[in-house]
Amino acid sequence: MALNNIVLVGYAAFLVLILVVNLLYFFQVFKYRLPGDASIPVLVLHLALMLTVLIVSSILLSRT
Amino acid sequence: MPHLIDHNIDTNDPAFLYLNLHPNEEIKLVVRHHWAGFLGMLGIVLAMGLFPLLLVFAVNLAFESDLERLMPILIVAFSGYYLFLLTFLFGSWINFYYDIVFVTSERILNVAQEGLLARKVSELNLRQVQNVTAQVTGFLQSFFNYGHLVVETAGEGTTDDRTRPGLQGYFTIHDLPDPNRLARVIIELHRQVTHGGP
Repeated sequence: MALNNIVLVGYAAFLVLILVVNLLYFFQVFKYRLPGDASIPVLVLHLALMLTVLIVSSILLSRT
Repeated sequence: MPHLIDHNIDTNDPAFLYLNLHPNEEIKLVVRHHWAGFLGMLGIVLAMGLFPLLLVFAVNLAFESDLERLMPILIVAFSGYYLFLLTFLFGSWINFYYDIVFVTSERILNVAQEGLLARKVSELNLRQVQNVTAQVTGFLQSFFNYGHLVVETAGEGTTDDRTRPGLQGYFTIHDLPDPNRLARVIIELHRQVTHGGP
């Protein structure tokens, strides 16, 4: 079952929504974090996990 | 556990501006909820993370010959699912971690993060404190030494958790580390404020 355009457009819209929500969370972190707290390490870990999912899914899609 | 109760605080740091501290008011303690209070949410997310793997197993059993054909749509669906799950987990963590209690030389400030871009700051003057109760119940709370702090006040009560309401006239904060020590500190600060000296 090849990916049709409707699925790809829906996925792209979903990615934009996830990006916007994450940007709002990042704004919140940078506004309210306290000096020396765990905000930045957790933010970096979150970014790394998100990028891992995106990169792995892209690689798998390119192979199918 | 220095990350849970912080004593060395630079009150002049811009990060504390939103608290609108009074002149000469010092932050004595910065207290975050104990990490064990987040274990339930972490468990739910981990269980949700295993769900697609079970689904692949079921699809493989039911449509073994079609799995190759279904693979692109499954990859897109699972990618979206895990991105949503990670965002949900990060949002839950922000809700948990950014609930902070500041004990100053004059007040108790309970900052409650309530979802995306919503914060509630409740404050209680130390002069209003009538009684402080530390509640440690159950195995987890006893083992990790965390629990609830209930400050009885002369004014109207408040709580940091809408799902677990506080009592009228009580200032209730859930899942705090070392609540007995916190209760002692608050009682001591109350004594200093009302009697005007250490």
